[in-house]
Amino acid sequence: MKKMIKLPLFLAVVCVVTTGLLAAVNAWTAPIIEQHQLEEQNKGYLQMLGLENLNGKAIETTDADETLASKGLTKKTVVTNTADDTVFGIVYDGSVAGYGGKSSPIVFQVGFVDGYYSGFNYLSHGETPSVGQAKVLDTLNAYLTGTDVALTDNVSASDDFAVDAAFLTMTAGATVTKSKLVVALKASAVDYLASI
Amino acid sequence: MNKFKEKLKIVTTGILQGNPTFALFIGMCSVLAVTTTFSTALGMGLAVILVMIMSNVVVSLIRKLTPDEIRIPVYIVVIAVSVTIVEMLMDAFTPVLADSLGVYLPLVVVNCIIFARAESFASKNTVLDSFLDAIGSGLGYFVAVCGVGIVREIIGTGTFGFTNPFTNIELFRVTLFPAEYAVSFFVSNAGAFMILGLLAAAINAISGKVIKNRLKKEKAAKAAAAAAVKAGAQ
Repeated sequence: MKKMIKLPLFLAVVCVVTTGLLAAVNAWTAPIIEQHQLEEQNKGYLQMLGLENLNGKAIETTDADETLASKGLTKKTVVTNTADDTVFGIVYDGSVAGYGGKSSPIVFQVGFVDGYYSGFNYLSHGETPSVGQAKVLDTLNAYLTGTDVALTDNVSASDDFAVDAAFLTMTAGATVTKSKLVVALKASAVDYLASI
Repeated sequence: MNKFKEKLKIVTTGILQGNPTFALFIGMCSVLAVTTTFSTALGMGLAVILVMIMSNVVVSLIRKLTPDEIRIPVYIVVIAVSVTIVEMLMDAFTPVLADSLGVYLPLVVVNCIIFARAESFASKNTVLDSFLDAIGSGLGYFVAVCGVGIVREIIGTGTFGFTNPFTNIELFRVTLFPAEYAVSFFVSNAGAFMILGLLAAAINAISGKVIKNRLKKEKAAKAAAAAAVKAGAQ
């Protein structure tokens, strides 16, 4: 009987002490880890906006509103010039289900500066490497960067999104990858035009 | 002086004849997985040394309090906590290295070397001896991962470099031979096995010679002592 109490009690004491120790280390390291993650995230935003650093800029990230969220966008990051409080650029984070489905969605970022697409970057995906990834994800950055958002033919007209016929040619054969992604890109373009 | 030699032997045993990787062939999974470059191998080696020191010292400290029936779960908790602490510290101070070690860092929890040292040594010896044993066995693993990492990086890429894990800045990179002569097979896991086997053979040959020499000296000393006793008796 004595053993039946002593053994679990000893294990419980060990667990309590170790939990306390872990909590103390976590309290010390968590803010540092959070800071690193924020820096990494900001690095992605800088890359999307073609910036080397955030000198003279303020950055504010908010969760996407209902309209944007319904189109697959998750966050909106507005970078403003601190001198005159004008918008320098906007980066949208998104996550849409492509050919890989909901279990491995296409997680991406798209940026806009001065009325132009400034970059597209995918962080993870579950697309077929030789089809969805090669035809859409790997080529989209080069294709979109520098394109005038105002030239987007049907940015506010239909649910399809095509800057020109070349985009449709490029994505032929990878329509599943394209379909949800273009809806999200279009929504980000529409929101960007409304925000500047 | 004899005490110092005894303590030194605890450390050197873990590096040479008791080397966990080259002599006992335990904890091999991470040795094959994280040794594609010297920098990641070094990070893993240091992480294992830290975990071993923490777990061995704590296990030794509580060895008289721990009931025998639950010693295994207690050791598991101690090792898991040590690994989690090291993981948190690496995430905070060497995030890129922690990323490159990936799942193999939390998997140190199930590394047989750590559990074996806790069960077979730390649970029966003093804190100082357990600390020295952790240093020795940890260094043995460190030597193994770094050795395999260096050979794999050089033969597999033709270059050798080192990246500061705290700043992620490459401190140096030396090109030893043109990349077209590099054998990329050695960067693969199969190549790692081959290098590990060759290094293990070399280390065992060296430590075998060391042991043979030591035994010879001990035998000669015993014979000399016996002869002296015989001469004294006559």
